[in-house]
Amino acid sequence: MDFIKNNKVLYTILVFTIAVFVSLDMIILDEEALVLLCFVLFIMFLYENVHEMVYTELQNRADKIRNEFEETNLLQEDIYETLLSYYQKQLALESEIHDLLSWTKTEIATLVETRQQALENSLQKEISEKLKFIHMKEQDFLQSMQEKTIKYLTSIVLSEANSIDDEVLEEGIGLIEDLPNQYDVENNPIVLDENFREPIVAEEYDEYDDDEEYDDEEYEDEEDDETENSDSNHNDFPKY
Amino acid sequence: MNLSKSNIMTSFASPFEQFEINNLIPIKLGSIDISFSNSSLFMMLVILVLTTFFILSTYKAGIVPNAWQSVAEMGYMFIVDLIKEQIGSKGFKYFPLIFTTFMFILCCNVIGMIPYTFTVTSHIIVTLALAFGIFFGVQVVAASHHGLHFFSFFLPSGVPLPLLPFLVLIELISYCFRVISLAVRLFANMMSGHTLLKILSGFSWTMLSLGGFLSIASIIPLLVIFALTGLELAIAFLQAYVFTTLTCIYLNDGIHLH
Repeated sequence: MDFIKNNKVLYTILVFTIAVFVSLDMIILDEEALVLLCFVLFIMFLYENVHEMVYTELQNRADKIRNEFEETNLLQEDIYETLLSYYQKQLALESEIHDLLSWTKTEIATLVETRQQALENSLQKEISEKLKFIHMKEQDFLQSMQEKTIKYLTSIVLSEANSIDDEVLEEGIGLIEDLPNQYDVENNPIVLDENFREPIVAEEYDEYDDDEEYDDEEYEDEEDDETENSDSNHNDFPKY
Repeated sequence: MNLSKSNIMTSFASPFEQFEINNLIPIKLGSIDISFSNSSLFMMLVILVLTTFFILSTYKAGIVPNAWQSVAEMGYMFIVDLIKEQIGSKGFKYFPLIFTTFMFILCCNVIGMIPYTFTVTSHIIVTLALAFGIFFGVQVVAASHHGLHFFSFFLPSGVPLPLLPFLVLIELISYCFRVISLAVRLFANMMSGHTLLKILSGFSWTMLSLGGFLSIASIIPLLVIFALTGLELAIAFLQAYVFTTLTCIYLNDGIHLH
């Protein structure tokens, strides 16, 4: 029974209503009614044919605007993300610069300390070397002085020895030859008698007491003292 | 006598009957008749329809428009493009005037197309008032832009001196006739279209009432009316467009002097 089913109820009601109004003379059928009929038909025709196109056109416009908007939005998002990354990079750079600065500061401090230590060490080393050199020079000087003194004394002794009489010499030689007889060489070593030595040495020294040479000796003694002092001073320095 | 006249009127309704102005609320201000007529009613209706349409279509307007918002935006863009093309960037100042004029005339024309309604723009007094208002406005704009230099507009360049007075006169007349041409063009188009439809429908109605073969043949004038309805709707839009375009051209003359 579907074929007699009325699917357009509203149209049917409209037609019946118009028919009733016309029969009651509420709507007067004249030329204007024909114009109305044509107008309604034209509007329906337009709606049937064009509304799809118009709707599609409007939809396309909306889609285009949506796409443009989304594109702009994406672009803006990209820009914001780029800006954000730039900002983060800037922050990272700033913190890195701070880290670098603090690290450099500590490094410089360490370097300065090391350099200072090295300088101190080198200075100490140099000073010790200089002191050693001075000490060596002093030793040399002392030695040369000793040698000179010995040479001088020897020359004096020798000059004095020339003036000794042959008798005294023979006496002396005799004494020396008697020495093995007087002492057991194996059990008692030879010790020079003080009486034998002292008069000569004492005399020698007594002679030089008022001499100029004595000053040298004094000077030598002083130098010895100085050397000792310098040695003692030298000992005060730490050894490197 | 009166009876016979009324009988004739009912049997042969004049095609101009639809343009009659009836005073709905008679108002007299001294000797001036400012009655609220059917013309006034339809003008107010047009304003109401336009306002409602634009308020509703842009209500909760989004960046991505719906169909109604799209229609409103397209109307807006149509006028923006028109101004850009005809006047240039200086013309955007006058956008509200031009947009309102276009929408008012378009809506008047389209509503007038609906049978049993009244076409406001089919009366020369309405179109002349519109045209004169625009003409006067253009003079004010031109004077504000150029002062007295505006009168050089009527002086064609490279014309022999003896001919100059005549040419200035002709230019002046043609300039003033712009108002009349603007008014008459719209009024004549609307009135002639509606009259034509009415005449054809009368023709068809007569054929239908005569019966027989002619009743069947009356479908032919009906088909013509059907086609003319489409044409008239197109003209309704076209005339509004022409009126607005000419307004833009006159404004451009006022602003740029040729």
